[in-house]
Amino acid sequence: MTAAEAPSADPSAPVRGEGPQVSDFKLANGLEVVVIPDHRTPVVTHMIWYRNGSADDPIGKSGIAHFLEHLMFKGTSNHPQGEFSNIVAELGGQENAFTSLDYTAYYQRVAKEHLGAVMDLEADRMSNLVLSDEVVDPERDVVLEERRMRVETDPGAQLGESVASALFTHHPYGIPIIGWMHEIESLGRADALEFYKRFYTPENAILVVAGDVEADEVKALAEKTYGRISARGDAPVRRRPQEPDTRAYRRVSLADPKVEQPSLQLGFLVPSYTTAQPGEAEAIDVLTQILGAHATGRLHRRLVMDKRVAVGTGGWYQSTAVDRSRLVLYAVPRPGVALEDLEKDLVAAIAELVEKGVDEKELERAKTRLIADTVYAQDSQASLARIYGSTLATGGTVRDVARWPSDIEKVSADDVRRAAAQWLDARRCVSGYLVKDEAA
Amino acid sequence: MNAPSRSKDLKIGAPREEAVRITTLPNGLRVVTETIPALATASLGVWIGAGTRHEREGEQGLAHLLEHMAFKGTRRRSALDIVAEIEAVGGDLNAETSVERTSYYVRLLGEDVPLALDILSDILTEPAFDKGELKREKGVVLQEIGACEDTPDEVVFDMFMETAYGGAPIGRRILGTPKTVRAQTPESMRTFLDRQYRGPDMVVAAAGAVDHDAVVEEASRRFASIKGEQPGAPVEGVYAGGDERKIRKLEQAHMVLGFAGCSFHSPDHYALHVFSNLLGGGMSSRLFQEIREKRGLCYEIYSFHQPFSDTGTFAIYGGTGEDKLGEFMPVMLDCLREAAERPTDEEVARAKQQIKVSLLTGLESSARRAEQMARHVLAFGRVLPREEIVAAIDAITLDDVKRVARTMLASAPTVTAVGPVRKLMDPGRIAAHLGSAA
Repeated sequence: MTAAEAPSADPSAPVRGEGPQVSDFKLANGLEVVVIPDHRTPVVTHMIWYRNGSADDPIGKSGIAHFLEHLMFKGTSNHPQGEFSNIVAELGGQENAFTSLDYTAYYQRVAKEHLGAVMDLEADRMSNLVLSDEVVDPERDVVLEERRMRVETDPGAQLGESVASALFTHHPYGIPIIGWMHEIESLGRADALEFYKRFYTPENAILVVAGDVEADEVKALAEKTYGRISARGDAPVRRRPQEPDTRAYRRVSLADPKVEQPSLQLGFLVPSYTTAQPGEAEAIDVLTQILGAHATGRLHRRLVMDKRVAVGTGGWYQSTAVDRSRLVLYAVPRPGVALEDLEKDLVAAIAELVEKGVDEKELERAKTRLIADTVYAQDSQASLARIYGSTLATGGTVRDVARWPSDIEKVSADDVRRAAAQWLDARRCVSGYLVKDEAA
Repeated sequence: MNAPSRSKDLKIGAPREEAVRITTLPNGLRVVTETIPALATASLGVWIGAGTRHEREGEQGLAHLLEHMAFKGTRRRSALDIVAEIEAVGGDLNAETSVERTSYYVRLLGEDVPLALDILSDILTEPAFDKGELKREKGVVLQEIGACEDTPDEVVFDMFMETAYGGAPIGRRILGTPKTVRAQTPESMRTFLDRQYRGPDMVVAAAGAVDHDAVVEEASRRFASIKGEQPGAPVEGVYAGGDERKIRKLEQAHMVLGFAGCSFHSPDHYALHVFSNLLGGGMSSRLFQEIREKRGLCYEIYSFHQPFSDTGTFAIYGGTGEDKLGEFMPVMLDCLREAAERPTDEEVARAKQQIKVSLLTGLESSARRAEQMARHVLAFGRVLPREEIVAAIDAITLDDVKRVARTMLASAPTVTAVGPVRKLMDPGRIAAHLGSAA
């Protein structure tokens, strides 16, 4: 089915998922620039994305990409520590940064007249970062504290880490973004600077500006700021061991006295948009919706409504990734239901879909939902900028973003059934059990 | 390197308030809309001035359970019909319960506003409260309570509200307790709905691709059965203060330190907001710079002011390891005292600027705008123009900030902590440490 034939409740509605007019160009030093005009409010979102994430951490140095993200706020030869944040705050701006498996990004939101100022600051720290042991040491404590807060006190997060490391037996996606505790403890100034020099270059970065600006203005400002950074030659190469096809079903179980609410998850090794054959990742996206959608998905209908073995179900697909990725389905049992039994019911719901396929109505609903989500994302400057940044940082193009809604429309019921048969296979699966440790 | 421009004037953009229209229906229900051109989506919802604090004895958790049950079927629609109808048009249906408000809202593509009003009015005026669905939904809420117990930084906030208000309804847990949730029946839900969901306390708000007159016409027909008499006022919220600690075997200690804040009707509430911003509002704030950046004592630390209709609380949250607990508390208290006694002009100017920009950001989204208008109408009976808020923030002086901070610190502290907190400073020493500031 093509976009034009897609049934729509309101014939006068705009084309589903059609995004704004986006410009994409490169500076002479190799920096890629994306401009997304949005004139609804006099604010701009400025983001710089680096094509490196935790999966690029050297062996034995897990957590360095994330640690460096923290250290990027520690000052440069032009602006001492704290000045960056002070200036952004003085301009009334908001800022933050995040590290994922495949990329690291920094962003600020400011009134549009201050765009040049934040570009100046961000360009400065792309090449002039200064690190001393006096700032590195306390920041390591901050990261250790962050790990304690996010993982060490949370059995659910610990199970998540165990499922990931069982699912990725060889690829670094199996290592947590924040790093393992014992390796974070040993990270130092030299590790951070080495990583910085390798990856923080104009050739490896993508500038995304969304907001009340035009491409020409952004181009002129970018040339005056980022344009001054000299090219380093080629973009750095990501060297990652690839995950083989796995053959064994694996189960990890975590028992902790702190658990009040047991849960079950099934993780599957699946292609990402970057590694998939044409149409394959789109089918997995639709499949995830059909199974995992809140209140209308198959899992909800089978496990919550019909069999009454679960109080909640869901699913997610980490589709935007450089290498092979994962799809996760989960269910929260009703009191008294054993996780083994819940897993059987969940697997039966998948088998039913593989055997009998999906009906046109649920297919259409899943597509509508997926495309609607992208339209809603366009309501927010920041989420719009994130879609472009994450796609480009994982090997996609601006065209891929624009084409995505029509690619989703093309997914057929048979594509979904085939995707389920091929990828939701026990040999590609790790199940994770979170249970209360009653003995402790 | 160019010095960044530091212009202090902020352009607020073309005033949009003229696009805002309010109509009051015969039963007191108000309809507020803003038509935003160039927006393909619309957001529409019903906001009710009833929440956790309106629950009576034995009803704890009822406001929230009711919100859950609203989607579980009406006389005309099954639970699945409700979501399927909204999904068929690419919509998104959601709800929220807080201390003083409950809201039900829909985001839609294009202009399916009549369908949204049909469904929202249906779930609020003709809910089925089917026994089987209620049983299942109680299971969902009990699971939420369990999940919340698994999250110490949520537990510490629940304890904070309970302790700050001495167990009064305003400080009770939104989810209720397993016992009170299990005790609810279709009858108790109908009683609460009938008692609290009254016209003068309800607002239908819509923003985006919407037409005011059409929304008013549709709403007046569909919400005609809602009663017009104002419900009784809830128990007054009186800040008490206190100390409550739960020793648990965790990797991290979570703490909230708080004081009496003020109501959003108080003229001081913006000044307190400014103080919170400079103390712990972002990466340039004192707590962030001193406790995290300089000393590496924690990952997360922030302060916030939470105003209600008749009271408010000011609080600081921090989480740290057991070994650092000894250093953490005195440093935090020093930071707080120093900020209250000697805030600088520069900090106040920066905080004001940040608050003003945060007023603008996010307003490109119809959902945020509808929510903001509804909140304003429930609280002030009108939508506050952005210029008026900006003028109020501009008018705040350094002395205002010092004065409100001093008043706040003079109230009895509330300390709540969860985790390995045996070594946490005792209440007497905390009060003594703060004493010289008051």
